[in-house]
Amino acid sequence: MRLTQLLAEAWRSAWAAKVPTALVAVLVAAMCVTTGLTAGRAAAAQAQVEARMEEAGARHLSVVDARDNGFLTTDVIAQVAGLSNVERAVGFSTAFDAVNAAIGPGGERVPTWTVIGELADAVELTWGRWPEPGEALVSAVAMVALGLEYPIGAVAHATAGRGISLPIVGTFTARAPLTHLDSGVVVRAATDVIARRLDVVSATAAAAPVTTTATLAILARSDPNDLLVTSPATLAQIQADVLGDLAEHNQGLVLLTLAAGALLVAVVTLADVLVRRTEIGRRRALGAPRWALVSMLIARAVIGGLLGAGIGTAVAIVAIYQTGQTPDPTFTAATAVLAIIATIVATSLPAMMAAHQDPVRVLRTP
Amino acid sequence: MTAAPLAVRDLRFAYRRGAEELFDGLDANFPAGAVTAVTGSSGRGKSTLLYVAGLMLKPIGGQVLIEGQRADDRPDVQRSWLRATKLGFVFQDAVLDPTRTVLNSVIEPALYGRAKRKRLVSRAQELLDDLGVGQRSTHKPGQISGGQAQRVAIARALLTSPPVILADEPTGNLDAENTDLVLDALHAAAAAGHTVVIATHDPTVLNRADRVVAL
Ligand SMILES: Nc1ncnc2c1ncn2[C@@H]1O[C@H](COP(=O)(O)OP(=O)(O)OP(=O)(O)O)[C@@H](O)[C@H]1O
Ligand SMILES: [Mg+2]
Repeated sequence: MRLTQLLAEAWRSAWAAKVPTALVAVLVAAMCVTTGLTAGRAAAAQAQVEARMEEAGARHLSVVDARDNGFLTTDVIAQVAGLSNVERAVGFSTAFDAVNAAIGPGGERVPTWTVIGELADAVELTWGRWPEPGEALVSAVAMVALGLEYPIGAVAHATAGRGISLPIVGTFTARAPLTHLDSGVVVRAATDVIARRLDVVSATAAAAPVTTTATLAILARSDPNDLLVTSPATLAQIQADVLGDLAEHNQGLVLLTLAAGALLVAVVTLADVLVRRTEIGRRRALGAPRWALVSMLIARAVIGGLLGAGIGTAVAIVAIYQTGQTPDPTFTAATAVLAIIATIVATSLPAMMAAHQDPVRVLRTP
Repeated sequence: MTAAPLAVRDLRFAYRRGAEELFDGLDANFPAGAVTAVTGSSGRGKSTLLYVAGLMLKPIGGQVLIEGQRADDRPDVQRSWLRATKLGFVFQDAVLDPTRTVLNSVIEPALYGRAKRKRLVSRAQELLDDLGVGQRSTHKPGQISGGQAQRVAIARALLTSPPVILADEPTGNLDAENTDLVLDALHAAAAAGHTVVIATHDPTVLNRADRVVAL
């Protein structure tokens, strides 16, 4: 039997037997919608968890020079910032309290950090210009505390007589995860200032453990007590675990839906071939080989399946959009393909049974 | 002398292991150009013989020869091919596809025998005309009578000009007039060189048969 004839026969017979074809289509559509919605929703949740994990917090490593050994130099910070997995690295001196220079030591105190490295890696400029070494930016909170109506003027050490006043040249907001800076003032350091604390942000949460290892290698401290390290490595592990759980759960849902759908398709096909035993016997008597009958029955179910997959995918996409999410095209296509494969598998057994039935018994007139 | 299109040698068959054996080592040739009637009382295995000869049932002993070649032991694909190209079946009920028109029903065997459909359409129409059902070619089987359906089934069996036509009680459900029409058609096929085998206990068929094999 030629392939074109076989397909034409499958089409004819799918059209002639509308009820089973429609049933298969409905079942496959239901498979697509169910997996599309449940797994789609779970996939969206997974993406959400992933996004949250990728927020700066989970990628944040901080190292403190616990014994003031002075190894966090400008060079070292630049070296860490240059690591391929590192998005940014900024050093800070120990915070000190500052007051409005115009008011003097009696004024309200705000925490002030000297920033070593790219200031833009720690804060965003919201007004004014980037400071030169020895100049300062103030946060909105600090402005209120300092009693400033405009970000102009200067701040000075709260302890009288320590250092000169630092001119204010603009305002800032802190960049995550360094949000604590929002409570005070940042000052651009002169090149020779040594940091006490180093904050490193990895490009991805997954790379955080590597970043930690690489950073510690650059710092090269033989005595672990020299360092106080807060590492996101455990967070990264939790992320991997949670995502793994979610993925497993998703696969379980998809498999369950497909298996249930496939079982129903098999039942429908079985009922159908039982009803059409005479037809199958007739084809056998007229010379159709078993493989052609099996292929024809499968092709017929696939016609219904394709129809159902089309409808089901469309419905699932609309439904997902309606929940305010964007459907994942790869996932949607994969669902449709899997549903079709499930249909083929489910049809094979009844089709094989039908092709192996005794044609004589069904052709015999009682 | 060339081999008969259909022959059985030392044939034995049972539906199940341990079930009653049929044919008792039957030897028979079914020559071309003759109508051979297979007869015997009910339950002797007339229908079964046709299905064994038609390669749909496998004998437990002996051989079925198609054009001198042993055929019963071939794999399914080859036996199907022989059914499509060398054998034509006519059943007691016409067994037409209810979803096909009469003309398309007649062409159905072409699907399995890789014959060119185009050429066969005109041949199918010719056969239907010869059998007196030419005007019914666009009808569905539900819209024609039993006798007409049986003649359509004969046209279907003749379509690919198979050497052997096997007919199981083709006149079983027909009145005298239709019986004659159907027998005329089968005898015409024999006259054209086909081997025709009819399983029957109908005296009309037996009287007109060229040869009789009694089971
Ligand atoms: N599918 C089957 N399974 C088991 N035994 C069967 C089967 N079909 C037929 N038989 C038995 O095989 C024997 C031959 O049956 P078959 O139909 O060939 O007889 P027949 O000569 O054609 O009879 P009839 O004249 O009534 O048509 C019978 O005894 C019947 O009961
Ligand atoms: Mg019989």
